[in-house]
Amino acid sequence: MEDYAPILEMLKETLIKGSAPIVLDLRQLDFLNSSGITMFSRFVIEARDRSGVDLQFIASESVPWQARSLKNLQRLMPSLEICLA
Amino acid sequence: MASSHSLEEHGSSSKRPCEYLTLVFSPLSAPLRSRWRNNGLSADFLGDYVTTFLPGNRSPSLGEALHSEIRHAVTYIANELLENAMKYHEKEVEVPIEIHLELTNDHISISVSNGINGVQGQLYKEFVERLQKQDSGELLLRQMEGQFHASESVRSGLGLVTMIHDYGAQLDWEFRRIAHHEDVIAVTTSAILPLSNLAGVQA
Repeated sequence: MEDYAPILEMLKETLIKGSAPIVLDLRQLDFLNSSGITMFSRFVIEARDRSGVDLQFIASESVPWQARSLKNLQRLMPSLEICLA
Repeated sequence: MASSHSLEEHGSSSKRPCEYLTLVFSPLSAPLRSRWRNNGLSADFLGDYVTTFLPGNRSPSLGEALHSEIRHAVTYIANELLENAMKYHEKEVEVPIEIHLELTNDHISISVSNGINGVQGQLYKEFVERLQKQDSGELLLRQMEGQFHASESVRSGLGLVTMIHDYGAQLDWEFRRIAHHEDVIAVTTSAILPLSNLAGVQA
């Protein structure tokens, strides 16, 4: 998990500095282990706990982990929008 | 010692025809951090290897997308099992870390064995009991919600929960004593992927 810390910090900064909507394009991310899923969980929880964050993930149906696991993050934050492209 | 095992016999002793492959890692030769890259390489290799023997190679009806699904599922599961094994392996005993891949006409199984100390063994058994009793969807949500305060052992469990929830894997465990090492337990964690669960693959 510690290897993901710089990415998580960068993502958290977008919550503070970024303007809505915040869009993450994940289509080129071919593989993610469970520590990476943990990192995205933390980010989504942080976004959920700040009111009014408009968060979107762009994902690819042809990348198996995205089709299988990204929807779990919507259970953490129902307003999270996942666009399968 | 608690023991739970439902896999077919491994390798050439199995009565059912299967392809299999075993990799064995010496336990002491490299620190955890430098192992990390090798976990990914080994997992990628297993994912590629298994596709050679899939029914699709004999039947054009199985497309590249299905092979990609299976390759990814094997790679993800192998990587998670290896990462856990390397992380919790008891370094004081000369017990190798082993990963075994098996393909039959209806399932793929991936098993990883390593030695863990008694404290970690007990924590792992308690986690296994929770996995067996609770709904994987609820457990997954709690794991993702609880990451901020989760203990180390629970945090590692997210990989196992995703195998069940996201990949339809059936998990199985075996805990054994090791001769002359009272404080060390040999644990084998197995993930069984029915081919029928993987995007409608027909063997």
